[in-house]
Formats: sequence, structure tokens, C-alpha cells
Amino acid sequence: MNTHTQETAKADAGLDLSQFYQVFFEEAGENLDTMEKMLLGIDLAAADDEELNAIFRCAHSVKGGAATFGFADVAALTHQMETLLDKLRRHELEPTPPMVDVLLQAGDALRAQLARHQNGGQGQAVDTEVLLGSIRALAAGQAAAATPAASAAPSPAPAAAPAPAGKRALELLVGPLDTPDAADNLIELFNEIVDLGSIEALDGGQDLAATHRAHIGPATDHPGDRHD
Amino acid sequence: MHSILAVDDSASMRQMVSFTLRNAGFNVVEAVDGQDAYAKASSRDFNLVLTDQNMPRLDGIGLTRKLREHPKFKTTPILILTTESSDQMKQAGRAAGATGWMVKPFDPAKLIEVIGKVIR
Repeated sequence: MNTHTQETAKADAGLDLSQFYQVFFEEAGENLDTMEKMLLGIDLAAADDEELNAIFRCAHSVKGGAATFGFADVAALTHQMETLLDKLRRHELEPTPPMVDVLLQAGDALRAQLARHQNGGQGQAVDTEVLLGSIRALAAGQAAAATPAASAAPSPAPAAAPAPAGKRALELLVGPLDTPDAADNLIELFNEIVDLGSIEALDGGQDLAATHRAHIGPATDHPGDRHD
Repeated sequence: MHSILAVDDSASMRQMVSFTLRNAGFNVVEAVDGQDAYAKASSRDFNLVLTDQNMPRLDGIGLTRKLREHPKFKTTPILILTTESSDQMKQAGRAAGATGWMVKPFDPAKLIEVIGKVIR
């Protein structure tokens, strides 16, 4: 997919839309944070109408900006999310754990897409084919795709222990970095924050694209892991 | 100079629309949602209202309905600018009193052209 059309960055009237990109990126990040927070806190048995509307508006807002500023991949993914969320807010579908999971995964994919655009489009495009298929299936009242959504990392992530119910495991990708050692203290900084979770460097913490990769899991219950 | 009330809960869209309109010679006042827009509309005059649809507190169709009930805005052009394109939504906009419906993403030159045709 041509993820960003240069032509859409300028208008017939000579308007350079790139001057609005930074505001869009910041705003999209806030919308994704809000959406994630609400999805993680949603009561599936009694989802509030205003909550569902608010989650919809987050995706809708990102979609509108992405479409306007030419970020086609972001617009495509948020469009599918919007389709599912619209059915939820209209009570045409009831929210289910797989829907929440796939929407959270989509939020992560969107962050990766936006980060890539902020970085001038460098790096490998985020593969969202499976994720898009899952969202479409759920919006059609079917089960999600069997395979999990693609990670934002350029190479496959190693197998990790599944997170307990109600918790999430994340793969953290930091970079590309101007200087590879810019994130050397990442593991130490993370471990200094009590109860944030567990972190494990992957592939020695650095790959050829000058990125750091780490797996972040839920906090353990072992008192010995605490750093007071 | 004509004054336009530009309503959108997205800061980047508000900035872009305002920049486009000011470049075309319009005076622009921004509002962050329908409720903010109605408060501003009640306290000053506008030649046209340009509003997004999906916003918190009061959406574009709700704002249109309220403005049409206000003596000052019975005939003021109200354009709804949104990614929504369903016939159902457009009909709801018309029923509320909207003058026109433009779909995002939009061509800034086309927006100015449409405004030029409807502004009083």
C-alpha cells in the first residue's frame, strides 16, 4: 500500500498541509491513549453509550485527520475500526473480549504507523492484513482471524509466555535511533519503576536498524523482583 | 469581511480549515465542539457556519438544529464537513436545516468555491 501520497500533502491552492502534521501526530497519540484507556476499562456486560461513542470518536478523529493529510494506511485501519465501533455504539453488535483485543491491537498498529510517518516513512511498513481481516470479520458478526495481528517489529518476535487474564504483554520497539546507545539504559529505567511490569531485551536489545526491542509483560508477584 | 465560525473537535483540522479560510480572505472564529460553537454564535454574528459532525457534547446536526431555532441563524448558511457520507446522515443533516454537506478529505479550493456560492 502506498502509505502516504505526497500529492495529498499539497492542495490545488498551493496549501502545504505538512505544516499541520505535528499537531495531527500529537492529537492522534492522545486519541489513541484515550481509546486504549477506555477499552481497557470497559464493562462488557454493561457498556455505557457515551463510552462507546467516545471510543468511536477517537478512531473517527484519527481517521479524518489521516485521510485529510494523506496517511492512507492509518486511514484504512481506522476506517475498519470505525465500522466495528459504529455497530457497537448503535447496539447492532454487543462488545466481546475478542473485539476489545483486536481494537487494542489495532491501536498498537496505529501507533507504529504514525511513528513511521513521523520518521519520514522510513522503515518497513506495518503489515495489517491479518488485523484488518479480523476487524472486518468481527464487524460482520463473525469470529476474528485465527492468527494474531502482525507486530510492528520488522522481524518476528520470539515466543513469550502468555499474559494472565486482564493483563497485556507488549513488544517495545525503540528506534531507529541516531545513536544506537541512546536507549542503553532502557531496561534499567523500566526496572526502577515499581510494579510497572517485567522487561526482557530481545535479540541482544539491538538490531541492524539501530532499534532496541524488548518484551514487556505484567508485573510478577515475586517480592524479590521489586526495586524499592 | 465575512466571518465564518469553524467547528471541529480536532485541533489539526481546525487549524487547517482556518488557515484555508483566512488565506481566502475570511475572518475565522474557531470552536471545539457544538456547545462551544453555539455559545460563540449567540454572542456575535457570522455569515456562515462550517462544522464537523462527530463531536462531543453537541454534534454537527445537533448544532445545526439549535442554530435554526435561534432568530439570528434561521437563514445563515450551515455546511457540515465530515467523513460521514451515508445518505441517512445527509438526510438527517438536511432535516436539521443544513445548507450543504461536504465529505472529508476535501479539496481546499473546492471548499472555498462552495463557500463562495452560499455565503451571505
